[in-house]
Amino acid sequence: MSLALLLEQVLNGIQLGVMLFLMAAGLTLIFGILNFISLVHGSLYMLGAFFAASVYGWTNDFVVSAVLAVLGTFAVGIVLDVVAFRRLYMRSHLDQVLGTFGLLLFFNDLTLLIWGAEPHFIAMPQFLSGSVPLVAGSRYPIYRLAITGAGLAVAAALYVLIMRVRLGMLIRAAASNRQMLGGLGINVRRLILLVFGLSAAMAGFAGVMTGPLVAVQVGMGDAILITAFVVVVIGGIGSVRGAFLSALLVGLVDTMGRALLPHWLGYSAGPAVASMSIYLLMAVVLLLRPAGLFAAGRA
Amino acid sequence: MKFWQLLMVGCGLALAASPASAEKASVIRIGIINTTSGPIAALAEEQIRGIELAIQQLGGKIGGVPVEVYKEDGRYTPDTGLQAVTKLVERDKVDFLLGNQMSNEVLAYAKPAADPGVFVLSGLAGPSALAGAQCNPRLFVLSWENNTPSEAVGELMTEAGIKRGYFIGQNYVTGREHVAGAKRFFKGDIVGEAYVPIEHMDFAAELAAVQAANPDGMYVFLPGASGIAFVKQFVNSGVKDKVKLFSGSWLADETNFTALGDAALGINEAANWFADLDNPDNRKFVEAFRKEYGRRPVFYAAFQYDAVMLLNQVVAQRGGDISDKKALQAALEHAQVHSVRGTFAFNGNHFPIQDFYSAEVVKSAGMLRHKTVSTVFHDHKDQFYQSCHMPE
Repeated sequence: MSLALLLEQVLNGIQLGVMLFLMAAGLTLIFGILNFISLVHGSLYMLGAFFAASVYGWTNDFVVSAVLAVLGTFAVGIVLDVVAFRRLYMRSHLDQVLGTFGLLLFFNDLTLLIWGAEPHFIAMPQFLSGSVPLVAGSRYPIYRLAITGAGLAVAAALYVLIMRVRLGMLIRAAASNRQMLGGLGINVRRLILLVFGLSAAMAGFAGVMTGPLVAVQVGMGDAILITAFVVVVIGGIGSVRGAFLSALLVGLVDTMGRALLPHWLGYSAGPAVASMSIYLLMAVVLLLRPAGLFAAGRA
Repeated sequence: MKFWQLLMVGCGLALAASPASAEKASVIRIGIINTTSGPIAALAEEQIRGIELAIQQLGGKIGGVPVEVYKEDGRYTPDTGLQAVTKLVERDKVDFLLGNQMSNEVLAYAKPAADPGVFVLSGLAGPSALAGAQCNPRLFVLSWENNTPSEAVGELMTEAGIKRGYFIGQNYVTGREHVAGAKRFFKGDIVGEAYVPIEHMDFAAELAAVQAANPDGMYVFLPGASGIAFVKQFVNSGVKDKVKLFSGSWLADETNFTALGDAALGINEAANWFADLDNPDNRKFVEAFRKEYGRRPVFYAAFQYDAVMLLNQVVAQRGGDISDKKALQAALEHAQVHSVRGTFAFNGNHFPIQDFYSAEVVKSAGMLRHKTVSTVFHDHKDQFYQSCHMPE
């Protein structure tokens, strides 16, 4: 494999990782603070893409559709918390999984009812379509670079929010001791609501950014949800920093596996092992560090 | 009182009269088995439209006999499909089974349905096993044997002068069969292959490898959402000017033109039917479909429409009698099928001997559509029919 191709695959891996981080950060955040497992996150990803596709259909403007879609999923996250999640916090993990799985099915059928079974379309913004020369004649799509950039920006903003701002301090405090924080006169309810909205908006943002590259259709969030959980487990449940590093690791392993394994193992075994690679990675990590790579504490 | 007496007399007369025309059935029960839930529901919807449009055009009758329709969902899974078909056969007592979307389901229920006397007319699934050793006297396939459309695509790539071909397909039995079919008829160099999971969405790694291998043509078997994602990323990766895309008609059609947008332009496809094929039956079908649903039909609807029209043809030929299964089978076997793709005949294994055409996706009057270019195969047969020894 040439150096140019290797570089390109590394970029692809990072881009996939950044996208996974947007999903995994939300999952791990609500787990860290609320000890809550949500399977409905894939639906928020799907809703983000559908909102964007609808707004795009009316306005033909990618940026407007992206902004409205992110706000839309933020709102859905808030509503979900008020209507459903609030009743599930204190229940067992099994109840949470069952409850949110029900919501996942509900959202799939609701989407089918509203938008129909045929796939929808979001166009790539003009200034981001096309490709740039990389090295030695190979070209790289600008849009993938843009996804990487946007994702890294969100990650940086999240870091600042959690580590440098008063609100983030409260979030961290809620993660370590919710009762105590409430006792100090902080409105923990509202804080939790905000975290839910935030994690929903990140999933929605991931859906919007992926929209122009894939088919916007019912069930599109189900596959990425599983991969996002793999990221959360490898990174250490509840750790945002762990989720970031593990998302990059998973993105690189998956991309490199798909690029290299068919060459090494041939066309019959290669693709099969490549599609297992991230699960093998998870198994190895769990064997060596059962709590994940960065499970020092919550948050 | 008088009314009731009249009615009784009427019934009596009807009963007395019926033995005289004993051969004509009073009703024909049709079962439709499709996958109407989940991510491929849109394709099932299109198939049901084809069936319903045909029945509507025939005035709710097949061969002059009124029709009752029963629908079931096979949900992509062989055991659910078998259950659904068992219900159609045993409870609803259907005479004919239409739809038949998924090869994996048909393999499970073809024999259990056909053994008690139901005719299975498949309007999509054509697994190779049923074309060869497991061929069934009451199974007729209106679409194709699964390998043949990709054989046509391989031939088309050769005819288009492609020197360096790259092949990508889904990593399961149908995907592998399709890629193998295309490779068998492609005469250039095969510079690379990729096999991806069925719901694969991110093709970055695969496309980087394609770019490095520097092909001038690429064969694609990625039906459904995965194909849309592939085409959009393919265009975005900047190789579109150097690499031509080739596929069967499952990559770009009216169900996903909206989702694909202009990315679909220039895709080359080979298939046994395109909406612009010029024959009277097809013009009538396309126009009626457009009137009813506001756009051109997709091949899923065309094959199902053909199935109903064939049924109408043979039942009419038998004077509405469907009780003599042997005679009905013979009528189907010898039928010149007046399909919307032109007239064709069945091979000994009950699969079509048919032409394949090539088409390009073009834009006219702001709408994407297929434009038929040439004939790729004349009277093409599948490669398995010789191992079929049709049971008496």
